[in-house]
Amino acid sequence: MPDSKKNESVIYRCPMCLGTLNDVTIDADACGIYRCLKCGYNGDYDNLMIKYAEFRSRYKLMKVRLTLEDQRKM
Amino acid sequence: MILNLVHRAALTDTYRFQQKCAHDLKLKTTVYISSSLLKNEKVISMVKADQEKYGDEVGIWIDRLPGMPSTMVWLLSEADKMKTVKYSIDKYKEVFGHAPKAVSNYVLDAHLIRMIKEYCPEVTICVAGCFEEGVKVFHGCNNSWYLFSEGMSWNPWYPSKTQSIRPAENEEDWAGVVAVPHLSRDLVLAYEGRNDFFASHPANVQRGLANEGMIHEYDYNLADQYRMQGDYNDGFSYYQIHVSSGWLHHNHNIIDCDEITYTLYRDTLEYMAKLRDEGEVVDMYMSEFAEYYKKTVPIGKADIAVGKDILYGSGKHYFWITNPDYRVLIDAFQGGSIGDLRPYAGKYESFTGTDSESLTMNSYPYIIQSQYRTGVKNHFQDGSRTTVFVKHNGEEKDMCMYPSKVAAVRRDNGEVELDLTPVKIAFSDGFTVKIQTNYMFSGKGRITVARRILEKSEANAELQFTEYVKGCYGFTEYPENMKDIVLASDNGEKLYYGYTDKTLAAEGGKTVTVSIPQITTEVELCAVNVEPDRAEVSDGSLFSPYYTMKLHYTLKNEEEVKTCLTVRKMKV
Repeated sequence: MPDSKKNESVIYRCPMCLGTLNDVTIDADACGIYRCLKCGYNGDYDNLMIKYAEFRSRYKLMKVRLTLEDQRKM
Repeated sequence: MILNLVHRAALTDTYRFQQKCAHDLKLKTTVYISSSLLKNEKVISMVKADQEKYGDEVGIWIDRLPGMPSTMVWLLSEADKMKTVKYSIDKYKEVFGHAPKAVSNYVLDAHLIRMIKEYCPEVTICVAGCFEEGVKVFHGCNNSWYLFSEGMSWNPWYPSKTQSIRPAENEEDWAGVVAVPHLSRDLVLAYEGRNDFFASHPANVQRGLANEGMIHEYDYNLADQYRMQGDYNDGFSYYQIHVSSGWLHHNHNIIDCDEITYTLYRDTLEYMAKLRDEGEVVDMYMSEFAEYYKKTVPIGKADIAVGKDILYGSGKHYFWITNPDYRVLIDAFQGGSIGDLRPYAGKYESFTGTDSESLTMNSYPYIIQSQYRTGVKNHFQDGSRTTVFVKHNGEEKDMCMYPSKVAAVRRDNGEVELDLTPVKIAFSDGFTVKIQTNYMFSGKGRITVARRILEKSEANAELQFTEYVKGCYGFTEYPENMKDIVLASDNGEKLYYGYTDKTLAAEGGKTVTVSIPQITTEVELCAVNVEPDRAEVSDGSLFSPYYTMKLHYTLKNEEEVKTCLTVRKMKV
């Protein structure tokens, strides 16, 4: 199951803290809003997923297989 | 490439899953039992059953005992370290009927290794440090992960007796065990970012969000980054997969469900098994590797790594070298400047724990660290780094701004030579010059940089080169007290570091030195083949706490300027 589908057993991290390379876990409140204890981030589940996708966008080669030969040529 | 696969025994379904993966794939596995579990009969009988059926090697994950402070084993008092060593080894012998060969933790400081080796000479191998783990991971774990192990090798090493991550210079200096790093870390991103996002640990990669669900090319790419290091090390390369079971189930650092986490782990082991079946990987038990390493890699041999960015697409290249005199990182993207320099030749001594002056700090001190200590100018002044300034007709260019790449690496008679790709520098009057940087890493702490002029748009044009080293010393991103450092030039003048911003200049001088008693290290910058116009060494200020060494050259028809940076033990 990809993490775009909400899974109650998964622990999420604040995406704004993650952006500063800090791991801070985050929980949803009774209204389903994730609020960070350490920074001002707040957002619903969909926003959380958007922020994670934004974070991943930095990895331009994330889905590219670079074999040994590819790396030798880089 | 040699693979050490390591699991840590636990009474969990995830541990059984890990073991099943390894055994199904017939991968040689070393299982560590933590000290406090050596009396747990269920764990022992489970480990023994696997050992009997599959041949697993069993070692000790040496860990604090009940009643001791809630800390890591290398941070205990000397008395508690010794108690832990004795209990763990005695209990292991009682349970298994023989002495252990592998005893490990994330970090083992020099005293802990000595205690282990003295109490149990049969121990041959230890996991004893984490490549580039320190400041960035401390910050990344909410300032709560007190593991400082920066300045070590990415590869196995022979630990010295006086500082565990400094490689021994000879048999006498050697602590007697082979040390291996905990995991294999990305040779680019462990420097630029968190080493616990980019490691040979699929769940770490998930922690860094470098997978997308089941898509995890980076796990394979990183393994191949390490396979490539065989090209530079006479065929030797090493990889370690070492994942404790807690990472695979409901881990607070992973935003994927367990099904994904399990799959990524199994996929990664399957890739290793495939490479083994193709003859590209040799899986070994830890103690088997220790014997192999001692037979094939002599003490003192330089280790080389070329790190190419395999995740961001920046095109960056880094070059690493360690030998008993230093660990150097060449940042090819910044024109071949030194981005990190650890002067092992100074033989700085330290251990950790409550009885140590160093307390938590097992990092080997740097004299250049361009990530923590500014590097090239971005905000106020520049910080610790090297470069060459190239001046023509009054206009000055900083080589750091001209990206290059690793072009060639050669080993010859114990020396290592690095060529970078040439860069072309253009001036506003239309003049251009093509310069290639070459490094020679040789004995006695010498790092010789050659700037080769390959092409000039005007054959007789005059150029001024300033070879430039801005240094300090430190362990973290914060400055240390620089007082007591002595700056000197070869005309006999001295300047005592006092944050005065003063400069000592010697017309016609060819050498400047900096003595750093805090880390028992002397640094020298010396002209090799061209007489400089002037040699300078400068004090810093409290807002720019560095020393700066400069050699100014005027070049007319010279084709190459060589300058040697030497690190050595300071004479007391």
